[in-house]
Amino acid sequence: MAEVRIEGLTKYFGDTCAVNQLNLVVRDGDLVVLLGPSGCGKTTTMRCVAGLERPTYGDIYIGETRVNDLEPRERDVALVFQSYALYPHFTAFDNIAYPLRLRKTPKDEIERRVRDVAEMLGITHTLERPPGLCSGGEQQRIALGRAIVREPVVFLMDEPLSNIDALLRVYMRAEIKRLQHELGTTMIYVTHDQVEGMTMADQIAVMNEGTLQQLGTPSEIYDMPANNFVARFVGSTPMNFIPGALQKENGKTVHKSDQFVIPVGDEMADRAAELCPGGVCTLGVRPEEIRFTMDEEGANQAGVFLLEPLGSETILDIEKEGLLLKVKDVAATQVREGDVLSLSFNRFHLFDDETGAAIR
Amino acid sequence: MAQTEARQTATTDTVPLPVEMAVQERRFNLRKLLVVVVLYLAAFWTLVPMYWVAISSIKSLRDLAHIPPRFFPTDPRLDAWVTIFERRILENVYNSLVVATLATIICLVISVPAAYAATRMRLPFKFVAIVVGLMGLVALLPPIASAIPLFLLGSDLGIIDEKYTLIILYTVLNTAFAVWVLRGTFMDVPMDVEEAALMDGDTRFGAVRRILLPLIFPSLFSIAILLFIFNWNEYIIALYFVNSMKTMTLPIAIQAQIPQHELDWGVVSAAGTIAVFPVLVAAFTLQRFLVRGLTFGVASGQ
Repeated sequence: MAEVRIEGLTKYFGDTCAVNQLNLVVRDGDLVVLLGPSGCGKTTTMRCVAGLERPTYGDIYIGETRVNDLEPRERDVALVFQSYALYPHFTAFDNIAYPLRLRKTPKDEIERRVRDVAEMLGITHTLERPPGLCSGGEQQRIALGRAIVREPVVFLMDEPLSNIDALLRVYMRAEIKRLQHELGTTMIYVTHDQVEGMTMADQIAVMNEGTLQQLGTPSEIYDMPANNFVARFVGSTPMNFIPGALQKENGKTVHKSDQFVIPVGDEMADRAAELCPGGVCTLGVRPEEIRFTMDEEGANQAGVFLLEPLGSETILDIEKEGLLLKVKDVAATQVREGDVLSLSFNRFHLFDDETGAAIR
Repeated sequence: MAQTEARQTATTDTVPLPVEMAVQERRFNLRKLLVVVVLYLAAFWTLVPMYWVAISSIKSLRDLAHIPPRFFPTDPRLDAWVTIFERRILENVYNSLVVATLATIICLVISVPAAYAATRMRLPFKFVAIVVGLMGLVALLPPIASAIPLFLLGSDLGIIDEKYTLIILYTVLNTAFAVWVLRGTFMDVPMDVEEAALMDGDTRFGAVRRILLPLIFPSLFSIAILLFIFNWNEYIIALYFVNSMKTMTLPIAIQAQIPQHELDWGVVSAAGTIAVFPVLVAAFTLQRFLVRGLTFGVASGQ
């Protein structure tokens, strides 16, 4: 068990910069999710920690050891691959036993530990089979077992759930989280699925174009996105963005766009005046933070053009002068397509149009 | 009838009814029959010349000269076989075996690491393209074009008429081909599997030996057999570099059975039959290894 410290990690492939000046500390025993779209450098970062890539610049520490120049086998780090990368010519048992055999573990101990791990993962019945004859979920567990059995100091997971079906995925992500808690081993988990990130992580590191956008707990990432990229990327119904500018109206600051006039609180207005003197900023609001009434007289009116019922809630697609908003209706009101609603904006964020950074 | 139909629709996505299975099976069998017929025709097409050579070796002169040709010998005799063994054909077989086997093994020892480097190391693309391209050129060059310069070089070095010279030459001439084919084979094995071995604590060499090579063993074996057959049949280089019985390989020995006058087809056929034999054995062994599928299921969902 150990802390992982990444300092100024930069990785070039030829002229392409995959990771740029990344600083990240993964505390001992934490599950940190590297989250980002494909090509954001999250897998490269993880491969640098694993030792499969050499950093161009920067240092990686596992515990107190600088591991830059260590071979993967000298780092005591286990990696679960997206493809599982099982050895097809071995049985499941031999797959799991392989890391132990390489460490010259006594035979009876190998037998015991492999069986223990198999039992923990519920794959005892597959042990005599080659992976080709196991189901996707079983292969996944064999890959997990191979990582767990040797009790490494750090687990690395490279999108381990992207190849299994949706139902099993929901089950497995809880399973992996439980295992990690039980073993107490530091884990770096790479995914592009923000739901996986939100549900599993102690800390989420959101990455884009090789740079770290924000590091924080899932609720910090969700409630206080550092910039418009994080805001856009996290949340299963994406955040709404309303471009506009801040103006004074009757002594009060408002965010004025082509479609809406939204009053901005005094505190936020002060911060905005300081951080974004031009006042040109985009307002971001989560679908569940937009309130509405059927009142046809109120401010900020807009028409509903589509309903997306999800069972427990309904997404209202609202359109006004070319601007699309998604609004979450949790209360099962009787809104119908074509209705005109009056909107109010409960909690929202302002993002400086120039830098994309949140104003707070 | 209506009932069976109802049952059919109800069960289509679970277990096929016996009726459906029978239909499927019949269709399958018709296809299978066609395949078998075509394969038999192909086998017949390739085997008849071999049969002809074999049968000619025990035909009497009368049968050999008979028109129309006789498919079965009327008066089988072993004279040709006695003659060919008297002419110490077994020594030529021995030479061929030594040369072909060693050249095959050395060629693999060189080309496996070369192909591995060309696929797995992150070498600059241009470098790989140039090296592999040049090697391809060597492979494309007709042997006769290189035979004469090689002969001049060999006689300058004084290594004409030595078995090791043949071994070296065959190795060199086949390496390009072997690297090309092996490169494709290596590329079929996902990098992940090797990296997994590295993560599990293996060395690079260990990962190749314990994971990669066992995975591609069927292909490796097939390539080895192919190389062996090339070496076994090689004629043109040997023609230049063989001067005596000490180095004479089978193809040269067979040609030597054809004298200036009075050609004895029986003896030539007997020698030919002997030459075909190891290739036949190789082909039969090869056939079991041609079944791929070991790498199947390495990566799920891809």
